[in-house]
Amino acid sequence: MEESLLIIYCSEGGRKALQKMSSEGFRLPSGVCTFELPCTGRINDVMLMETLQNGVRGIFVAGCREENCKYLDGNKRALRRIKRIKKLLSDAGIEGKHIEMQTFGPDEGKRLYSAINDFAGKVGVS
Amino acid sequence: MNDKKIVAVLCDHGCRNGSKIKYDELKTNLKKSEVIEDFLLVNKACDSGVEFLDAYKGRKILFGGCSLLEERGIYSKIKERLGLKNGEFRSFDVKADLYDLYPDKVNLEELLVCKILSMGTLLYHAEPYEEERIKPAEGILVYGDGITALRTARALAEEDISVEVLETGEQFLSPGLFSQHFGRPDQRGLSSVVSADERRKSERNRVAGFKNVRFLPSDAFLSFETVEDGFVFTFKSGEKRKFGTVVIAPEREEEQSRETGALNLTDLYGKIVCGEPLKGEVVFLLDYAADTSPEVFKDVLLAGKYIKRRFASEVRILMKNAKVSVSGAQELYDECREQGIIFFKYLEDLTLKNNYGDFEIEGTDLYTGDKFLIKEPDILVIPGRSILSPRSKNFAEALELLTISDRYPQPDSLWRLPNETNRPGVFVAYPTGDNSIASLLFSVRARLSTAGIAVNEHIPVVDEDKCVYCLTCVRVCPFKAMTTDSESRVAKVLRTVCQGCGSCAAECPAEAIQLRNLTGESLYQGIRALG
Amino acid sequence: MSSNSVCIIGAGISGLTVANNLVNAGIEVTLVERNPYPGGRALFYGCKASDSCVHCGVCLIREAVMNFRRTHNIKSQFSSELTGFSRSNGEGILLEIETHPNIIDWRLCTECGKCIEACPENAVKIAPGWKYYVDSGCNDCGKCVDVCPEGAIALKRESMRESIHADCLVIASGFKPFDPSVNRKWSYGESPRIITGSDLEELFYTENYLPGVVKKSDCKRIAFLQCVGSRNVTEGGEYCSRVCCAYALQMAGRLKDEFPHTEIDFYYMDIQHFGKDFESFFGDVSRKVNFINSNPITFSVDRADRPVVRYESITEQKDKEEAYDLVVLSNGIAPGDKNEALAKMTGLSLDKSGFLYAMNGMGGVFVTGACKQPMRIEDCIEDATGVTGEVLSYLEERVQVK
Repeated sequence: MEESLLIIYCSEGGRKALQKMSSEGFRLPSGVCTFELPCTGRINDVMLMETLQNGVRGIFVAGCREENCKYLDGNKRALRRIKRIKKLLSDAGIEGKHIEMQTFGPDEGKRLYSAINDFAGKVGVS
Repeated sequence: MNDKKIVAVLCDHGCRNGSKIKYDELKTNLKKSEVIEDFLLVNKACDSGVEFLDAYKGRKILFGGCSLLEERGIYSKIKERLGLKNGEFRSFDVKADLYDLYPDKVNLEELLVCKILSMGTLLYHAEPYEEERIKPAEGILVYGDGITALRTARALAEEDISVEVLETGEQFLSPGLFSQHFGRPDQRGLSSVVSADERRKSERNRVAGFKNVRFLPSDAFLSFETVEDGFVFTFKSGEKRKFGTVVIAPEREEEQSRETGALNLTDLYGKIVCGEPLKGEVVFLLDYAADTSPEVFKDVLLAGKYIKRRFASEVRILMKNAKVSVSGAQELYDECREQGIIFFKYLEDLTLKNNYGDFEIEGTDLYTGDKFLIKEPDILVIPGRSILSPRSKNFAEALELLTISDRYPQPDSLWRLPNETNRPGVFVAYPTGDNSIASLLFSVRARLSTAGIAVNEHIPVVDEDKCVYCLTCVRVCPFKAMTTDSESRVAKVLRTVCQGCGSCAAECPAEAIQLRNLTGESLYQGIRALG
Repeated sequence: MSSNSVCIIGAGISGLTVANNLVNAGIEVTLVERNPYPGGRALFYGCKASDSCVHCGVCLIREAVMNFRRTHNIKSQFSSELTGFSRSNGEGILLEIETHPNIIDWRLCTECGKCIEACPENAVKIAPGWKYYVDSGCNDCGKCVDVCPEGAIALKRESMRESIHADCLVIASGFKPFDPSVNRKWSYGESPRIITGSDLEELFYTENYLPGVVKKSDCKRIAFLQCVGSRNVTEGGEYCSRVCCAYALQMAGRLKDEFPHTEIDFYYMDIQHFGKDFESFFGDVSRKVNFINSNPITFSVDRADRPVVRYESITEQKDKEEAYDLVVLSNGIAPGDKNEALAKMTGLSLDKSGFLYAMNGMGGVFVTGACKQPMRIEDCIEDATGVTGEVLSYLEERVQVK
């Protein structure tokens, strides 16, 4: 898992944006793995920490737009949790940049593509 | 844990990568894993039938193929033929979720191994289960005292559904739609004024004529509890009643006008119903205390038209915007202008002086740009914001419903119909909208349908030994699917309510909650397998 | 006939909602759609979320199409139209459906994309969440036929006529966006910088947000013009279209997010309320947009090909002229082309604006969605859910009578 990047996406907005991205002809950078969850609300500290411990360079979470979660507030909770984890990480001397969450509408393939690329650049995965 | 191994099947027809994939290499790599027993590469699974899987009866199957397989119902055929339960079969769209995401030159075997191992791990850890359906308890509670509650009760009773109406017996003059007080809006005459109370009474008599409608004496209930198949209310009398479904017909109230001496619409209705003459100059000041909603705008038009006709008064309507997006409002607006009601569209510089009930309104008219000054109108009506009545609000709070700015007992979410709340099984009936009662009926009937409510695939399972009774899960669940068992002091899941989002599992500090078929362990393993 | 069957005209959001609901209730459904793909008008609309979701409802269409794709027991006929309607003596309705040739057979298409690469005219398009179809511009060269590995493409197919029997007919034929080119006043078509709201929706879908002629870097000023084709008998319909304030404000908010240095002017007659949280949404958007309460008098195009709007300024009490890089005409909802023909065929009546008058349940014909009045996506779903309930009650009653 060295030098790799993990994208966790939800099966609503995240998945639709990812498919829009591929239908527009954009491709993921090599070394990027994807993992689908029903809702980003399932993501928690333990899961992210274990994944980082395994040697993943960065985790990018793609959820639904705020107020558009099928489960009402799963994405908001995830955003809050990830903000907290980022802070914890930077407190522990590890830069918080290795984790990022953004929200996407179902049609925002291009934005997802550039967000993933930006993130990959930030954590140093080409 | 069940240790059935996985047979991974890959159809390479739709994606046409077959010739490129090094089948043997893939198979060897996959077989190294302890979760994969065998790997098959097939072609045209969408056409060729599913008999080839007969040899693998009793194993879990992971199937990757293009979307045609789902469209043609191949996956359900496989499950049926091999007698696979839920949790023993998983499929993925190999094209949309894998190949299409990566550039052409990528190493297909590596990708496939990752995906299959990750999905396989999730499937390996999954617990097989039979699909469960739970029927909600019988009985529907309709909460509310207004005409909407009665109309809903009647509509349900007409569908042969037993209804109990929880009312207060108090007089309740709702500021609802003018049309509800004075007859249908398309009734041009408006000659006979029927008071809201009379209309309510006649509707109530009509509803009472149904054998399957019962009126409950009072709304005073002490406590309320959610159980698997419904809601248990404990009334002050000590009586405990269980209802499978609750329909709230929220009563609305108009906020009192802050200007002493000015009326709000509810006051005006009162005056009309009592037959008070409304002579002289009647001024409506809209968009002042609150942005006037289209429904209220239509009411103002109807009221203005009525006053103009009945008393030959001078009616002026001052507004910022004419809200004509309710059906029939544009026609009514044009009609009112023809009949001599004067409309002012005022600019931001409007001032209202109140000298103990003598008003002076000064402003600029948008169309002409002229200043206007209205001195001491006989009646000044300032419609207020329509909000939930305290009783409805309390009820919504008691049921822990999410509300939008004190006005609607529903969450502001596109994913739920306007009649649905954040609590499955609690619906909202509301008077506006042409088809609201019909869609409410559909939702209620769907809930009561013979099949019952399906239990979500990912419902949480609470490890009673680990649960520390901190109630975090109860707090975070947006659907209120977690309750507590005070005797054994553990959290409990209401299986009909849970929608499987996993918020509780993510937040549980003791890791006592795991989602069925998506346990934390399987997730970590699944993610690890991606490497 | 043993089981009940329902025919739905139109696979837009209303038709798909009814179809999905009815199939779940175990009813046989035939879906007849004029386009070669499901989803209707709003399929090519784009998400307008700015910081958070603004409830435009486009995601609900993606969801409905996805659900439809997963439901394999709906009989669907694309590129088809209803051509005949007759009642068979107490035994429901006989419908005649004409199917125009689909060049690409969606049942066989696996979305490999070879036809798109092969087509020299770029006539093969993809419908969001669905498959490929051939749009106008095809010159019958046959290159796609040669490359299709599935044999799903045939240029010369014949139209088919088919009679089907149904217990119920649900009409969800939708609307037509108002076409501003019928009136010279709007100057629509005279400059590529004057576009309609529907055009902008499609630009939102492609995530370009601006038409090609307008450079992102030097787009300084954008104007939205409301009530194009609504609330004016001489220029369109007398009614309020109910959707334009919502979509225009939502899109204006998003444009401001995308291009923070752009000034957005919003010419309006009256702002209509929409949605339950209108107040907070309006509060947000009014910080991003300048509101001008005026109806422009004339339009012209200046030397630099920029559209110029002439309007009467109320605050300054004089006529003013403003030049813009982009003018968006927020066109409203006009009744569908086929409403008259449908009404004639099925015995329904039209209201004075040309929408179908709903008398649901009369003789097994139901009307839902934007063909009966202007509606937003959410309203269509609610209406269609209600109509599904009515259809189910009607079918139950019929069984009891039998």
